[in-house]
Amino acid sequence: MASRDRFKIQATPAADKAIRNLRGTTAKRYVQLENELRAQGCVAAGYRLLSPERGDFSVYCCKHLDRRWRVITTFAPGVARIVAVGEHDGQAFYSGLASTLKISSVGTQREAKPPCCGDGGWPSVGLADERSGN
Amino acid sequence: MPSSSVKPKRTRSQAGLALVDTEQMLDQVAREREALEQGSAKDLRPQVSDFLEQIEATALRLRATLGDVGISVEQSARRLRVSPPTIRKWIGEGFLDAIPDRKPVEVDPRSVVRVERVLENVRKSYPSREWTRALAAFLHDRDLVQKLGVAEAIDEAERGEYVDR
Repeated sequence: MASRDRFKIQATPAADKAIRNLRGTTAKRYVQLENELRAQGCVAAGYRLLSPERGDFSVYCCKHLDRRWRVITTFAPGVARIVAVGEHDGQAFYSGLASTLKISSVGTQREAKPPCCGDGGWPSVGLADERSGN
Repeated sequence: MPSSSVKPKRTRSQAGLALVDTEQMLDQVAREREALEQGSAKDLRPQVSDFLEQIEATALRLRATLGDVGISVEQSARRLRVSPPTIRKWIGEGFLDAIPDRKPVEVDPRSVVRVERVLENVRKSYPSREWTRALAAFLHDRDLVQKLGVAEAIDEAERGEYVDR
């Protein structure tokens, strides 16, 4: 851990395994992201995800590594946790959804994505237990 | 014995709607209880907690009386402010639950309340001129979290330990 690092990095066993299997540009981008997370915490973690159960904001953030690869994180005081790493084709998902919801697939990406981190640190919006990650 | 002027079909339809209201009441009790636990007004907790218990007991008795009744596709559409074809699609996609072996289709009141809550939260979280875009964002994130196995990864980590990197 370099002296400028402010955050410890932890991963779930599943995420750790997925990270070890990353190759090429995706692996390089992951290393870069991990360095950013060590130095900046939730500032580097992308946008807040909505909760799959209730539709309000979840305690997870999503960072795009490249076109398909995503990294899901959450935060505790002084710790950035890598929850999952995997592939998800958002474009294909929205195209599929366009037919079921009868909406145009062009421009259906959400209009605003709240950042993972707010001005006051973690979380940017909504409740996240008593966690404070930045 | 006087015969009832209310037809069975109508009674069933009204019971279904009453059950949706009952489920909503139970959902609200759960949310108020959660807010009470997180809130700072400790002095009020015993009284509010007793009150919530009474409401919950009433709602549970009402649920037992009304039985296993659902609401129609049209009633669901009016309640959720979408079209009947959308309700049928959501049943097909598993977003809403249909009660098995009912013809015509009856929608499970609990799933109506669950979807109502999701729509309400989605609209609050992502204000949009077109609510379908907000719903698309919700469905996208739900799909992402499911595909990447977030819940399973967290369960696994909590059973064991997180790996330091």
